[in-house]
Amino acid sequence: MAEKQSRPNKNEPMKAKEIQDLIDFISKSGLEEVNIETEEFKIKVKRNSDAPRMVEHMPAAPAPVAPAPAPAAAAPAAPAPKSGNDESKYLTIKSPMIGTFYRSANPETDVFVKVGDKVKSGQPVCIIEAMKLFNEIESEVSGTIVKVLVDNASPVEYDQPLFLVDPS
Amino acid sequence: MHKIFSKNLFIGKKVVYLPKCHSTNSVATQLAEIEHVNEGTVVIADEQLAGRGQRGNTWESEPGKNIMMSVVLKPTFLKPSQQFFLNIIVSIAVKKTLSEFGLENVKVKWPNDIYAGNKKITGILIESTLKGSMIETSVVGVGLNVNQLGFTSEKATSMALEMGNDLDKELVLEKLSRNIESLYLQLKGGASEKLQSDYLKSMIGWGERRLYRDKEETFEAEILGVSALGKLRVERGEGVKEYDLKEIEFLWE
Repeated sequence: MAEKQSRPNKNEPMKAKEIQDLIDFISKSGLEEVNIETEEFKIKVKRNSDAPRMVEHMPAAPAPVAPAPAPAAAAPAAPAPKSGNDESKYLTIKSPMIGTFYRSANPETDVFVKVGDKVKSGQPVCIIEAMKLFNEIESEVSGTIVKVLVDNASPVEYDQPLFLVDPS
Repeated sequence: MHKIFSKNLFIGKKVVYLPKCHSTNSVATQLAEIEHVNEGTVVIADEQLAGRGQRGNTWESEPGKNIMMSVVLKPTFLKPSQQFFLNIIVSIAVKKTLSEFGLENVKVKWPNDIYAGNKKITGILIESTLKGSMIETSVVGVGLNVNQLGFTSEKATSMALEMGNDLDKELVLEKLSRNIESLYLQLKGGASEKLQSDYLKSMIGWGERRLYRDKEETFEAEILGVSALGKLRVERGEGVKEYDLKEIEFLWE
């Protein structure tokens, strides 16, 4: 019974930190204007329109649009069988549900992780979609991705291994 | 300004209002990673520059006319395989809200579009973050057409178009948020069977024969229900069949 009452009690000393976190968020978000309102405070933050910070995922110059993502997809063939046969030391990231496996957040963005990438516990590694419900799956382990076991946009079962991770 | 949420228990106790953003769901998802961002935080925008429908589809809305809202929930009491219930409660909440404003010909087109007659009036986009087999957060995005009068698609409509008059958007938002909250609390309280049955009764094609198409043919069928995972169960004369999302299409006259 006593577990889930994080809300009302501990507001007091947190406000300064909370406001700081929100301002950090706004400054990183690239949003032009943000108004936040709670029972205790209101903040309104407006960005100077001449500040050149609206970058986010927009690759400003149209030049390198197509070539950029291609090499990433082509690469992983070679380096996989590194230390040969012993896969037992590897950890797996498994699917928590039945659905469709996607390696990127949406068709226009890069994959979350590729072979050779380091992942930390809590880092998003893929999307599993089921019945239009989209689930960003976070890794529970840390290490290096050694293999992606499922093709993009293919169906996965509950508990099916998705990634092999070398924890060393 | 946002006193509209004052009667709620937890939804809207923190409101992030954005005149413009890429997508309220994206902002809410990023916000949810901040430690002090509690369940119930609401992100509202007047204008979405890259509003999203389902994976890759865009959601178009005239600035300031409609409701674009995302709510941060933390349904840790649900297993990942039970997530369809989020879809169920939000669908019912939208239908209930529209009915409170006098719009009665509203139904749910499986799995999560809301239709007035044979036109879409609301889209829902639910995105969750899972760690292991635990749901950490779910962001529920609702795009509800309120006062927009012109659409590029013939299959879209708004409350104002259906009712013939403009509506107070803030009042719609107030009722919608309260309904989502109350249904979410019912789900948390264990009312899943009743909610599922309410969802079924509000579905287009439930208890009536209409036309569908699968990859082989056009056929007449009756919707019997939805499986635990959200698949559509239909009676086709030769027996009961379950369909995944992309396997069946609703046909309209």
